[in-house]
Amino acid sequence: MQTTNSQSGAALFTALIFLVIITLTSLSAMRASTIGLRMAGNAELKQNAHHMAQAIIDATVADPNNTRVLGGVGTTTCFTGCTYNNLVLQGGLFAAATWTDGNTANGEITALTTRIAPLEAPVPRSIGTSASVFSVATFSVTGDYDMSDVGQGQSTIMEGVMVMISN
Amino acid sequence: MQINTQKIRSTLSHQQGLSLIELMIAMTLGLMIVAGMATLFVQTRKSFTQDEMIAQMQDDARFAMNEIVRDVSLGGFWATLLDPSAITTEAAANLGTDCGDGTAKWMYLTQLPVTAISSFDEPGAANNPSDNFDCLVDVEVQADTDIISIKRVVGNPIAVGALVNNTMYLETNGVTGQLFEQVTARAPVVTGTVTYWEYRPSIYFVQNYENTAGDGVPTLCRSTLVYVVGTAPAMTKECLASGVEDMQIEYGIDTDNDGTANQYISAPTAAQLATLVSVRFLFLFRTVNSDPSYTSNKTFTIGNAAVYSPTDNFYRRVYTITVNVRNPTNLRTIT
Repeated sequence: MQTTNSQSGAALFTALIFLVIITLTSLSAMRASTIGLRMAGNAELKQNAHHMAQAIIDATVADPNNTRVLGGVGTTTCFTGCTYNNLVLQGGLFAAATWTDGNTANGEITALTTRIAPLEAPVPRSIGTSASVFSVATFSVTGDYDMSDVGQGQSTIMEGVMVMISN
Repeated sequence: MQINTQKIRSTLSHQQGLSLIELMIAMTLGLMIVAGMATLFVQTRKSFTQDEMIAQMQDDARFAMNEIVRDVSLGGFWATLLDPSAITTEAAANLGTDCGDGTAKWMYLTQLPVTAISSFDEPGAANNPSDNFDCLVDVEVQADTDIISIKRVVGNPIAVGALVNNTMYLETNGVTGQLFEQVTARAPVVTGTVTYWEYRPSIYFVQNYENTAGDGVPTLCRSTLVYVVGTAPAMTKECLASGVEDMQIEYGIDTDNDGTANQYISAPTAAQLATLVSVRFLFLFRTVNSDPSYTSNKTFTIGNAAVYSPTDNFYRRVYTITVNVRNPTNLRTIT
């Protein structure tokens, strides 16, 4: 009688203990998965931002008006607050209509070209051209993509661009 | 007194109703519940361990790829200078441990910003790691993996007053440049509007151990130029991620000068590397610890590496990433 009572109680008790341990393990596993998912998500957003910034640069460089050789060193072209404020991003990707979370004016996208020293440099040897006829103007192009205000990625890339000008 | 006796008697009669059959059924049911719970626990525990090991591996992979991708995508970055052949190296620059093909001060040769060694053979055979990178030890490099070296300057321009002794810098005015080792009261060589940038070449390779030779955990490492005031700059090894069994690298070569890769080559020549536009990495990661309850029965064919069919107790994943390399190629021109 005593045995029967204690045995049926033990099954319940043991099962409950196992249940508690399993619950704790599962919770821990869930937490680990959530963190893993968040890290993977962040990595994705970071990559996305990086490629968007690269795309901004490519779209900027695609329009020769964005890198004009008229001004001196320090001449800038961007959307507002520069020497020239009429920077155009080529291609449909950056058209305001396709931009659900605000457009270029909202500051998610920044593009800037700056003419840098030296004013006119000889053509690098790696460009197969008649170096005595041309020289190059050098620009730094900055593309910035910032969606951090909505918890997404941010990335800034700078690239150099040379524009060949005939002497 | 009478009431108490009746109470005891009634309790006893209730308990006496349990027969042997009932007892056995109760025991069987109890055992089944406990056994079920125990199985569930073991399964949960196993799945938890597996999740944890794979999460760890994924974290390692993410970190390693982050590091290598950033370095490679900026390979051949010479600040405002666009032509690496316009860079000279100061004759006085020291180099503690060089790491090249035997050419003196190979680490300071900037003409080849990216060099590649593809699937060298077993140690002792031809095409050893040490033939191309003499700071690598052949028997320590994981067999049949690829090696990549990247040369570039890093970070932001440094003010001339903030230059640190025994560190290699590039000084450039956008037309010519010089690599030099900073010493007190050094006279600049390049004239005009000069900027200063720290120089940092790296070689990425897979080492066949983690902490001590023979521990069997393959590890992704890099040899990089480390600066310590008072000693000559030296190539020093640092490891990034453990559990990297294989790294295969394919080089995207642009043959028609439109800025995109036309073909991917695993063993490019120096001439082909001059038109490098992208690099594809293929990593085979494995968990650092084995799981005895799991036996791998998968077959991996990564890049041009030999078919690999391990039958051990490690979990494995393949990761691939393609990196745009903007700098080493011929310059993109605007027409």
